[in-house]
Amino acid sequence: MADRPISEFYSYANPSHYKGGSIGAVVARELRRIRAEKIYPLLMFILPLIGFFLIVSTFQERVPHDLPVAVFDGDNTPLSRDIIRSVNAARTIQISQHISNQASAEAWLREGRGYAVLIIPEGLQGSVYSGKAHPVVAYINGQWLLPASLVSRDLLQSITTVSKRLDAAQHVAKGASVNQAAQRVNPIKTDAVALFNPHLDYVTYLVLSLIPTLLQIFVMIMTVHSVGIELKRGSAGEWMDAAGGSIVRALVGKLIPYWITSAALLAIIWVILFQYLNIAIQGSIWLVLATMVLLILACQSIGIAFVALTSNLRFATSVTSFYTGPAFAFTGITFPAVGMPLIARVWGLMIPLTHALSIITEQVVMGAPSSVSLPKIGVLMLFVLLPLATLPRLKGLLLNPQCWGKV
Amino acid sequence: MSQVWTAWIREYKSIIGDRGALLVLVAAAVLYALIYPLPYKEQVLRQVPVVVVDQDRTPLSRQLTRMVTATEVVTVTGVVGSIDEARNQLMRREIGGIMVVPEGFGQAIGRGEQAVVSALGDGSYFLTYRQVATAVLSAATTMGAAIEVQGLVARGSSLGEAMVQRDPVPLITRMLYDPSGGYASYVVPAVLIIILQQTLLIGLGLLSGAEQEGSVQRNDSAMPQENHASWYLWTPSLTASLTGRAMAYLTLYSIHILFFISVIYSLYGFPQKGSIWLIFLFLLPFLLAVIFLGIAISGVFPERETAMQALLFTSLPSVFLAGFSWPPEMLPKWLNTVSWLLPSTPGVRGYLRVNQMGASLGEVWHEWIMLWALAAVYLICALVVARRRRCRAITLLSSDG
Repeated sequence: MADRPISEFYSYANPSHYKGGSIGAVVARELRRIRAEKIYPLLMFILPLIGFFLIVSTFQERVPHDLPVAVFDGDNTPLSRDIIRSVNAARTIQISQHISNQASAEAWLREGRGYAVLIIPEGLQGSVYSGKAHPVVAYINGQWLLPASLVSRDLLQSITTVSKRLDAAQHVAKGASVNQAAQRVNPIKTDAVALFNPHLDYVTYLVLSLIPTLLQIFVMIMTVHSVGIELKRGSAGEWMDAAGGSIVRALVGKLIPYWITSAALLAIIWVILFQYLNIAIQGSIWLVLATMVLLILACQSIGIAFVALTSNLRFATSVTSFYTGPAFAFTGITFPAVGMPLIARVWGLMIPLTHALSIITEQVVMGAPSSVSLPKIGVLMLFVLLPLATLPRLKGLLLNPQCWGKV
Repeated sequence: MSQVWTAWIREYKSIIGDRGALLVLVAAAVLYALIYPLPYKEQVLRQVPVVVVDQDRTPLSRQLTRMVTATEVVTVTGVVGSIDEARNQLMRREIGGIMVVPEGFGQAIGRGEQAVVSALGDGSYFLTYRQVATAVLSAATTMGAAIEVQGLVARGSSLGEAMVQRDPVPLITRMLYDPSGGYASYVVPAVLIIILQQTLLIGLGLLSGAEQEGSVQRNDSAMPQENHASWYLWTPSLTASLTGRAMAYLTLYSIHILFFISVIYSLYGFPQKGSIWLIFLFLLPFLLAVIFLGIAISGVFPERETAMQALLFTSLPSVFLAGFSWPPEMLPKWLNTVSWLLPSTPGVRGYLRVNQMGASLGEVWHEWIMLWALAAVYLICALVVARRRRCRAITLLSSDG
């Protein structure tokens, strides 16, 4: 580069400078660049696959179970042991330790040994059998919200079961039949059903959403790099040369290799989610596929716009980090959008991932009618098309050597 | 000592002199900390829209509907006749759940038989489902308790006896540390620690990449670059220079921690139970471990953007491996072990206990020692890497003649 005369750089703006140039030439040039540097295979395959592997491995148990809970049994009677048995039988709870001192309950939690301590006070059985109520106390580690809610639900359920058994015995003693007693202790039975995901499986819930979240990060970072590096290295003119001066040809030629690798990545994702993890697609498989493809294209489009608007690879990469890094929190998957303040909801709507995950949830998990998701497909298309309005600006940058070499 | 001081000041200068580094190491830590908690600002998900399918249409079914509304966890947006109609609304994402009161509900209660009510929550959003199930369950339990007590009294028990018989072993649940059950105070304190780690790693990688670019393009007058590589040459002692660099980041990031605790914590009203000195004492080996890890891995980033490109995705796995959003007991054994190599894993677990739960240093001893061990291991790695680089810089310079 350095030995080319400076006058040659300025001729890029002159249409007569170009002789020929084709998409094929740009593709060939991009392939040479991809082969020359390790960063390309790293961002295209190696890091995404490591990311997918980590996420899939993290949630391989699918549903939290056997979370450690301590118990202080100050009563040590058949009733207290009955309570402990009932608690230990709960799916999410495992009695991991019997503590001998009630005062050490909070320290046990602060040491991070478990999520709750159940305190069974002395004199429980005596009081209850002599017709007095006697409460048991559960200290729950509320800071760990997910285990706290699972453990407190199961504690309540298993202790209520014991309590209701005593209640039913009283009903029977007062002359009710066993069947009547069972109905009287629980006059209103509640069936709670988690529609679409009856076992509250975290793979269907989170892994399905986190993998597209990783995908959008890599696609946008890769696009920003492949375009931005031309400015940074001052090779933009040579790139436009290969494309015969057409920004469309230049971008299409550049992106073709990434379309192919993205398609391969998508195939891998598809196998992981729908074959290996066995997530069943309840709705339209075509809408799911279209969503993934549009998410990739939207991220490429936005990545190009970021380079065009910042005219600097380093800054465009920073902007991409801000945009894609915290995106998941704004999609409403973990904390639903209805509960967010307006500004967070608006920010979420400005991220293609939000719409993509919405469609994926509707079509994979819920099996919603296509009409529910189609408007969001339209929104994703806008995310593909609108950023292209920055192309004239990008072309100007690529042809102006004064914009090259900025770090 | 003066060498340490020179390296310290030198590092400040290179951060201030590089807009990219300034953005990552100073602005990003502040910006992320401000925007990340935004979605969770309201803390608790309330007023989840729910539709009631009332096939019973008795005073009792209407009473149950009122009681569900009274929980304020959900809000009843409509009463419809058929499940299909409610299901359509759910599919259109207009509501988060359905309560079905079947025909014969009131009659069963009147006859002293068991009545059934269903809570159908949108299981594709766990928080939504949980709120719907909780609201219906608590309303039905309250109503059921009243019915049972009334029945017992009608059959001759006193009110007091009836109350005791209904629930002889009541459970008193004490939610500790975060009694509001807030989502922000659950997620954000942990994420703040991850933000410290990620911005530090990326910032160190960026400066090192800039330095690599500098040494590669030293003779390129078109790219005026501060020549960081030469600095290693006139620094006589690697240890001194490393100490100086570490001090630079330690001081900068202490300011970030102060900012988090004073501004972010009061902005969102997070509970804060640890003393500032204990927090610093606990986070000291965490910061050191991250700094040395950053220096150790920074050698692999050939350009200033590379660190950000390669490390951005690691934030997500770091969050899920830290153990606050997914119980570490549920991680596969090998992954649980590997996750301890990330400073954020012991860092988040210990920090939450110190600052959110009020643990003493003794109660986070395990994590604290682990962080010192990580700091030591990464320090050795950083020294090896820095030494290799210095040797290479010397060969480069001498070959230039």
